[in-house]
Amino acid sequence: MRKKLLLAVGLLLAGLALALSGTEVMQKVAAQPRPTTMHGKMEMRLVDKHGRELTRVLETWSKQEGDVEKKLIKFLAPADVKGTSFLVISRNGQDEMKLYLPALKRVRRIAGGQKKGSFMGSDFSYDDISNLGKIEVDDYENKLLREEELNGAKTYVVEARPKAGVDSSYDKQILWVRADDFVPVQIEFYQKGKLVKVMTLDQVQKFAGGKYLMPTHMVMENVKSKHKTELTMSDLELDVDIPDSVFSERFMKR
Amino acid sequence: MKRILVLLVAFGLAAAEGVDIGGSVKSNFGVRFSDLGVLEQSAALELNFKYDLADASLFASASLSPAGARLGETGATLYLGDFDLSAGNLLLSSGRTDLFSPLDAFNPRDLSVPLNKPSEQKIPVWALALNYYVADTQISLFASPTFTPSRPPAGLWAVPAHLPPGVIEVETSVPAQTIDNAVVGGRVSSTFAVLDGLDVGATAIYGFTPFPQAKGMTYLSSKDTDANPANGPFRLELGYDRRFLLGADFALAFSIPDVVEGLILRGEGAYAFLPDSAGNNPFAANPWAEGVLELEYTWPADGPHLIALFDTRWEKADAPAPDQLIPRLGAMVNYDYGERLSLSAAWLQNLHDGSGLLRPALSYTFADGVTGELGLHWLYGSAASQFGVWSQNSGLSASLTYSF
Repeated sequence: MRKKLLLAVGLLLAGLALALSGTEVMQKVAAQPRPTTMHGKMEMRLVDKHGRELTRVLETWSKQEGDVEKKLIKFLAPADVKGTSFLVISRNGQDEMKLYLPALKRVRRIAGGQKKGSFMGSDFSYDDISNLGKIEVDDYENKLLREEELNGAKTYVVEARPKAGVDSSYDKQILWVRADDFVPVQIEFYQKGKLVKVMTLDQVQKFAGGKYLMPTHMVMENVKSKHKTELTMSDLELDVDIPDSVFSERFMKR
Repeated sequence: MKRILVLLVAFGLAAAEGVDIGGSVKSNFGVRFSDLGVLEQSAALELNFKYDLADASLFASASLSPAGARLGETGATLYLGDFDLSAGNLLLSSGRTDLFSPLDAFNPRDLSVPLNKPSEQKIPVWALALNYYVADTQISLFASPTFTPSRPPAGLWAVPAHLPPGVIEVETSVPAQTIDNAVVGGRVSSTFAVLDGLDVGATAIYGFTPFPQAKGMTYLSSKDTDANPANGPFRLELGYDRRFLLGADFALAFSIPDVVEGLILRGEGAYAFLPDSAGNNPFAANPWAEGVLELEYTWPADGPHLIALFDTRWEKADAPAPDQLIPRLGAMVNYDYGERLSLSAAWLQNLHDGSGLLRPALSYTFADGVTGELGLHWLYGSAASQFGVWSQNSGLSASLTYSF
């Protein structure tokens, strides 16, 4: 009996020693190697609760240089929005966002409310799109809620709340992070304490000989409206040379 | 014929690999409330193609409608290091404000249907444009060797002409297509890290007034019936004066901490130097100045998007009449209800003459590239006012567009 008790205490202590905190889980997520540049195509399929679909096809370029992150998105389809482009330059947490509308032949600065609004009718906001794959561990209070199995994989469930003064579209996110490779596979987004959207990253592929793990298919679903947006990445090129001139008003118009 | 040929060439090139071809089919129908008459019925096919090479792109567009074929923006751009050089039938843009943009004055306008979207009213002109990019600054120089006049409101939108007593003929002289009548301009714009971001620009355009104005009266002795030259008859001669337009614009993104986030303040100011600065010569155009301020805000979480604007235009009058100051207020609101339905409304109020325009509309995306629009336009004010002159044309319009 005493032996069993000692064994149980021993296992519990070993378990405690091995368990990670929420911050540690998120640090491991953030520590995943990420490409400094990325170029590829993105197909957005907007599906309403009746199953009716609209499709947008985008070409994206992104580049990370120290604290500066640049992202350019160009619409290739449908025809009525073709040529529209969206530029985000993030410096020290401040986003500079511009939109080029070919009908007007002007680049418009956009700000504020639009960042939190829908990105071209999708369930992703401008902020969601510009923050895809970006983890700022220090901006959040991270708490490990539990460990659970999701789709056959062991996951850490972490609650991330933005710290005071951090500009975030959401007051809470709950992330399911795969325990074996620390890739988030599901994220719940909360506003005013209520669950508003759920993003599922259901396809994660290895690139550059396994150096990078990148989500290539994700679904964002609006919990209330039952509307969802499927995002599929294709033709991905990582760590390719993308000149700074791509992230410019000049290239937006081209 | 030449334009149709261009269209066919565009089709032929479309078959080539790497050519991006697209276009739209659009039909419009409008009815006015005053007599339930048809205000507008049109259909048009627009074709666009673009061919991108490593350091150049070729582009062309043309539209076909029952009224005929029309060449759209067509030309080529060379990308030469920090320079872009474009040549062809071009549309250029300057300024930053939306409903009123006094600096966006390089291209003439087709105002035959004055309620069409401002972007659809621009007429491309044969021009050469050179852009130089350095850091966050863009310097542009542009020139059009010929002058193209704007098209005034036509058909049911034509404004009644008030001819001086005795005038029985009107003759309009268009500047000769010579190099000394070229339209030239330049623009500098730059971005600065001020508040949440600041863009500023300055534009100068040396061109012509977009519409003709009185240049003189000729006594037509051979047609005189009372042998009294004071009574006429006269021929009113119209012409276009040289105009030098100078102005500046800005867009500032800012927030008011703990109050409101994400405001955009845009502004434009322009002064038009014209031959008769003192207003002493009734046969020469007088200077004017215009300033526009607009504030843009989008309510968070997919709320409506609002632009409120205030525009003031000062016009030097011919002596002894007092100069005119015309303040106008406007607002545009847009709300996307999901990805298919978009509701919008525009309101303009001329505070000088009391006239205005109210224009609610909705658009619905039936499928990818298939969009329908339904809109109401209510024009009010006295018959001699800016918008009231078209009050008989208040009505309803619908359109269906397929883009491919």
